[in-house]
Amino acid sequence: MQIALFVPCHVDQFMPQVAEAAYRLLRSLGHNVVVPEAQTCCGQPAYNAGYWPESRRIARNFLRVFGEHGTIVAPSGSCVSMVRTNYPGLFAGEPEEAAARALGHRVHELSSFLVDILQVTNLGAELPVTVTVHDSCHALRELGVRDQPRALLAQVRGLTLVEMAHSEVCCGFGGLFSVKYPELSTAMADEKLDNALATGAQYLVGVEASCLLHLQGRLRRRALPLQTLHLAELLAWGKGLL
Amino acid sequence: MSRRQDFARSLADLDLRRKMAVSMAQALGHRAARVAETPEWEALRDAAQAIRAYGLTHLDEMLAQFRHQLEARGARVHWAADAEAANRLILDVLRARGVTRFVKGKSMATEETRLNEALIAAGLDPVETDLGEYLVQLCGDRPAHPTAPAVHLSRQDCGRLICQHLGAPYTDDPTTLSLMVREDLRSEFLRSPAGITGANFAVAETGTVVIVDNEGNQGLVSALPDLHIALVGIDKLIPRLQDLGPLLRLLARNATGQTLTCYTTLISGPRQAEDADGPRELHVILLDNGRRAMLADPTARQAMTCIRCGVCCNICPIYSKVGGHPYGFTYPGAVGSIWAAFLSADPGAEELAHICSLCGACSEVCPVRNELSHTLAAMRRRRHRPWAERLGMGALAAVLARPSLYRLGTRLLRWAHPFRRLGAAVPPIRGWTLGRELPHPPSRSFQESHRRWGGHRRE
Amino acid sequence: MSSDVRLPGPVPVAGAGDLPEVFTAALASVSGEAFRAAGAAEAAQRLLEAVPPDGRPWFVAERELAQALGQHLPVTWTDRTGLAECQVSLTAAEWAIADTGTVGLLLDARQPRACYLLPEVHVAVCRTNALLPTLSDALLRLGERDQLPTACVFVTGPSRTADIEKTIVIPAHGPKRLIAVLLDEI
Ligand code: SF4
Repeated sequence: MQIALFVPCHVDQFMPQVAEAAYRLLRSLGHNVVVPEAQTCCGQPAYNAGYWPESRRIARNFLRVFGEHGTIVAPSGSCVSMVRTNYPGLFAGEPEEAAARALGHRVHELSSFLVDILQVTNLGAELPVTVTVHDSCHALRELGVRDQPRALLAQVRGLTLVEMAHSEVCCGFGGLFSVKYPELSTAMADEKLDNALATGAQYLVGVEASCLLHLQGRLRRRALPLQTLHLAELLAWGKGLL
Repeated sequence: MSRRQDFARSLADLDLRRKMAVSMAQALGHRAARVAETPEWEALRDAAQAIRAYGLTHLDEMLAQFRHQLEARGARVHWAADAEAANRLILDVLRARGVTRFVKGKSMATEETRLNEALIAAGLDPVETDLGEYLVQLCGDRPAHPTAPAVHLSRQDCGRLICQHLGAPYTDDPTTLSLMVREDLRSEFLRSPAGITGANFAVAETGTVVIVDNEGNQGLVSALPDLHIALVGIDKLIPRLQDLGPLLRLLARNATGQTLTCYTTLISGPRQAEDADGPRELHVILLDNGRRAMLADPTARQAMTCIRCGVCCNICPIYSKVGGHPYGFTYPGAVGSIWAAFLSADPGAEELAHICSLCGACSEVCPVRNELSHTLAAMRRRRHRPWAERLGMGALAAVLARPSLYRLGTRLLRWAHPFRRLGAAVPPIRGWTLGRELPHPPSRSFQESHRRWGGHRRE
Repeated sequence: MSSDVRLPGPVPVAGAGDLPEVFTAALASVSGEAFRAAGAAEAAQRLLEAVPPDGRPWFVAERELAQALGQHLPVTWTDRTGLAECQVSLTAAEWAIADTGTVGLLLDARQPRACYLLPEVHVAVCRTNALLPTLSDALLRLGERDQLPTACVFVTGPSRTADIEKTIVIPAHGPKRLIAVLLDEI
């Protein structure tokens, strides 16, 4: 299958290893992975902040770049849900409306693509670590990603998953919210991190790089004995691909 | 930025945080138990959603029918365009009958219009009879939660307030305290010339005011005095009596984890010739106060379907830490942040739509399936933003919309990173670094490495 | 009003069991009490065991069901003027709702609005065959009447509050006990 890899801007800039991991994982399964050159961002930061015309400008580029591609996969639930859930409203009454709607069905979050579409859970990875999972809001609530990451982790040999309390509660990132209301944002991060620490896990695993960037920033500030790890990284690492 | 400070102040109140955590976890736990034992849960939500959606398109028809039915039984129905008009109407009715001291049932609508303040200023003496509201009135505060007004008070706070008020020796035993208040208010009920309540629903078909409560005070307030005034938001209208079925089953299960609230009181008129008791006069005041404006707004109108169960507060990762006060608006939480834009006199209330991480936990649980977080995101378009933010967002969009500029930006970010301390005064960076370390951009972005090496060299 | 096809019908309870059993369990779960009796005499006997008269009068609503039971009780009756001082108010419920353990009362000339709230104990007598699965069923029947009484109430358990640190306290402003009597025959 030909798969276009959608690399969200924050992944591209700050966590390139996550995109790399996704790229290698999909190739290791025998797929032809292309990385469309002119991609930038889905427009979510502007959309969530209430700047819809600005968001549309960015999203138009996304439509141009990915319009031709049949299957699009991203290591991020939030950006996928932006395209799937929000594009129809964002482009309502615009010439691109139909194209925007059609695109939504072709964009997939990585873990659900692996489990639901490709129907693989065992990637042959092995990693003797203890992890806990954070359910990212948009992946969980807009895309129904809850069991898929766990199904993939369950097949990683040597790995122990310890569920944390309230894994489904928001970590407090929320885009511009995180810098406009930093007190609230970090208080939410602290609760998440305290719940994660209580499991004794070494890694806090998620499917959403933006949550992880935010949590990582807070972890480092508090100098906590925990690291964040994107599911794609974990799987690629366990397969010896990274 | 005062709201940000209000929230930050509440966040720093660790005692409040503890009380909120306990109460919210308990409320959600009780609700979860009800959800688990109600297999028809989703069917109830479907029904409730359909009933309330009907109201969005049939409001005028329902209002006319409601009014007609009630007036046919001898009630007086008034319209109030805003809070001031409602308060004036109520004051006029009370004054005309020489009422000074009277009892009140819990009503968020009267909180919304700040009725007590208006009446006290006019020399009247309202007595709140719901225990939570009684406590809130004693400390001169505002309710912190739509269904649990005193959720922010500890039992010690309550003990101090009640014992001081009644001149009794201190106790903080909830049972003793509640019984003391029962005793104190019983005589008020029996001698009060008037009773004021809100309403949870208003049934168009039958002209019925529906009030639910657990304590029994709403029944007493609406039955014993000779005059009953109900202040009813026009959002409370529902078409048929039978629609109360799914709505009430959901309301109680969500709000308090009960299967049904203890008392559901249905009032369809003042005392008739054939009745044994009940008020001789019933006045129903239908309150707009921004609701029609909300209904006219295609983005926000869905929020009019709210049944005020309060679950979107309980489940909110922000509300559940700070309670209702920092919102600075009668109705807190997600739905309140939508309502505030239309009902609040404070133009700054539109900021509330931004004080949300858009996690969507509220939308997931709302009994009438309000898409609260989507609405909040869409409402953010309304607010007039500071020029610096607009400029910044415009610049960001310009870069992200053009691949060539994006590439340039990728390089710039890396060149600038060593000098990041210089950016510490820039609001977004300052906001981030207040509690977090900045991420380090690796020397090459994914796209840069990919362009450089393609997909082959690395595996 | 009902011309709009999009308005939904009642939502049945999934898997409703034996109604009297479901009712009794539901009422017990909200600290209410219920028993079923074959006739008025038996019901009165059980009631006297549950609520020993303490010398204060009892209010008995002027409805067939309440009076049938009242006749077998060795207590003084009072009318609505004595409501605030009496021990028990004996009312007749139009329906009982199994799902939630609720009794539905019409309040009118023969059953005043405040009668179920002021006394310490509220006893509501209901015919066993007036047991309905859900609130919606009772509302449908209520709506079928030519004219609604100016007041009705659905009561689910004794009066309570949880406003102080969510601790449940019974009673708040209303009765301390709610006893539902399901009567098979008068
Ligand atoms: S919006 Fe929904 S969840 Fe929130 S109070 Fe209203 S009905 Fe309840």
